[in-house]
Amino acid sequence: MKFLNTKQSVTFAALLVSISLFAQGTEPAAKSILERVDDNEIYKSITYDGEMTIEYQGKRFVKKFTAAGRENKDSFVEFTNSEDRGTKYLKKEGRLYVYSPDTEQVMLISGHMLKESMMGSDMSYEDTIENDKLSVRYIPVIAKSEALNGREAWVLDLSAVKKTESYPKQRLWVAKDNYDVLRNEQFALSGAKLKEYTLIRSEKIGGRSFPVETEVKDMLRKGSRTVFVMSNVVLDAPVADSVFSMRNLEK
Amino acid sequence: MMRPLYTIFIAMAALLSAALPLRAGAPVFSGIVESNAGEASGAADGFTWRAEQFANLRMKADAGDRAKIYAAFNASAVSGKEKELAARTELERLYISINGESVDVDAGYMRMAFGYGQAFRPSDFLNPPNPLYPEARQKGALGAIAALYPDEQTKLQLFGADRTDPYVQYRGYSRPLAGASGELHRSEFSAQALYAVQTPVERGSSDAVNYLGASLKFDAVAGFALDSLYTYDSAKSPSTEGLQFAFGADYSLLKGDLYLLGQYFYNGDGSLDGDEEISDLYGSERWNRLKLEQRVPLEGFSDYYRKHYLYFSALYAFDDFTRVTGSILCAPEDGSFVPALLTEYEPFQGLTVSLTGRFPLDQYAFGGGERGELGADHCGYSSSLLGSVKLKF
Repeated sequence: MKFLNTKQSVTFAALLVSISLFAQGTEPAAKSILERVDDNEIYKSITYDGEMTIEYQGKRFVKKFTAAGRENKDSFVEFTNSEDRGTKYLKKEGRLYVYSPDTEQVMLISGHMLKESMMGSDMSYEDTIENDKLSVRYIPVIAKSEALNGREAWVLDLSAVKKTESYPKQRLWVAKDNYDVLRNEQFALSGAKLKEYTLIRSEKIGGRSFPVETEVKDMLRKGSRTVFVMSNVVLDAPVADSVFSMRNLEK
Repeated sequence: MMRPLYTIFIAMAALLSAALPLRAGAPVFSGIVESNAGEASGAADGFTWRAEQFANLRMKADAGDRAKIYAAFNASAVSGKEKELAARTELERLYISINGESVDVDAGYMRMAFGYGQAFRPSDFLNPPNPLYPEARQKGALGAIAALYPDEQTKLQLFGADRTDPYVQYRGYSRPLAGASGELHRSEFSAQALYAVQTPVERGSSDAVNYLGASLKFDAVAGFALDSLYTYDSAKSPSTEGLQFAFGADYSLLKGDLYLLGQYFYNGDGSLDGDEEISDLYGSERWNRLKLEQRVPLEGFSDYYRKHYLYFSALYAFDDFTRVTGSILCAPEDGSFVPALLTEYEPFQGLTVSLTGRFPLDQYAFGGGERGELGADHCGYSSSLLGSVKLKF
């Protein structure tokens, strides 16, 4: 085996040190941070049990449901709490259908209603069915680094690529240790804050850090907040086509 | 007093025990319990009041891997002015649902729904909704439906039912019908078409009654719905009398806090032409002196006697728990209309307190002109108020 001579060893060591110093002193690009966020949060498919605790004007409502989703196309939600039991939502091809056990009929939700609150929560129908990559939809810029709730984070300012986005601007606090989105503020074009998401808890699922408990605030509803908890989360496992069908909605 | 409740529980227990041998899952019970108190004043009966305790009790039980049993009962106890306390139960739903590999079959007493019309929905011809009572659950029909889904957004159905028509005397025999429907959902629209044929009106006749329905819903900034039904009695010549259609649009404003709906309804079967008065309906100028139950239209009873109707409603949500809905149903041919105001408040999860007022009006009420179909004299009251406390469970 041939070893490096002294001169070569010194040169190699200097190279390693300089690479190391360079790596320590350089932040990753904003785009790559956002891609890592997407790697954590964007799934091919998901199934979970959900619970929304809605607090508004001193009242507390709890909604429970089971849900399945597939990419950014399809989702299916069935409510299981006693007051809403049997109410189902199907998002398919960009349209939203609802089945109500009271009317016993499937109704197509008109497009203009998709921005409205879902079941009285701080999330709109659109929010609940959104699963598209932020790194594709937004141009990110690192605004600064700061600690949030004791965790070091990059603060990213996002500008929408398309004018049709519900939230033209967003600000994300991304944890430096595992790319959790610790906080997400969503803004209108005017700069008015519309929504605020705060991560309460994430779980390691299949090699990624996935948000399973989040607090959502619709800033247009004063004093309102929704805590959204997911359990029994299964990511990227095959989900039958039949789940996202009119047939399942009408069962 | 307790007999109706016993009846319900015994019936549900019987259903449950029938399901158990088939590896039943735990049955799920749900429903609505309502306490109602209301008054109506004016017109024929003077001032009346009514108090009611009402429950809609529902049960769903798995029977094996592929079958489900559904049952629902209405129970009520009612008393009112010059009315003794009366308690009764009513079967609202009782059917089985079997999910096959490619075909689903539902059979029994159930809701068989068609069409997308908002307030008026003529293609929902087995039990069309009443725009005056949009929140009411529709009556069931005794029948069967086989549904086939060629793909995830297409549905084909074969159905048969005993179509109930509360206004027609069938002299002791039922008039079943059979039909087929197809439904297609695409990103731009949803569409449905149906055809059904029903046994003749006259016993012994071979002249079947045919129904052809079509419904379309699409988005173009607002949501639009076109819903139609053509009824052709082979015993008669084809005419526009058999045509009913509704065209409506809905839109929301103020970030969804305000929801607006407008709809036009054409009723070709209306027995009154634009220049005819209500007295022509009954063949008497003195119709308004008779009690409601004593009035018999010359051409038979119907839901609507005019040909043209308009419906508007506006729902405003003050917050998640407080809503007000104003609506108005108009018969423009005689200038009569029924404005209604519904206020709802949800003090806690599952409980809704509401107050509904309805005020039938016509030209006569304003000091002149004719009495109209939707006026106080024809409706039998000049104002009504209903307070309700509704608990969902």
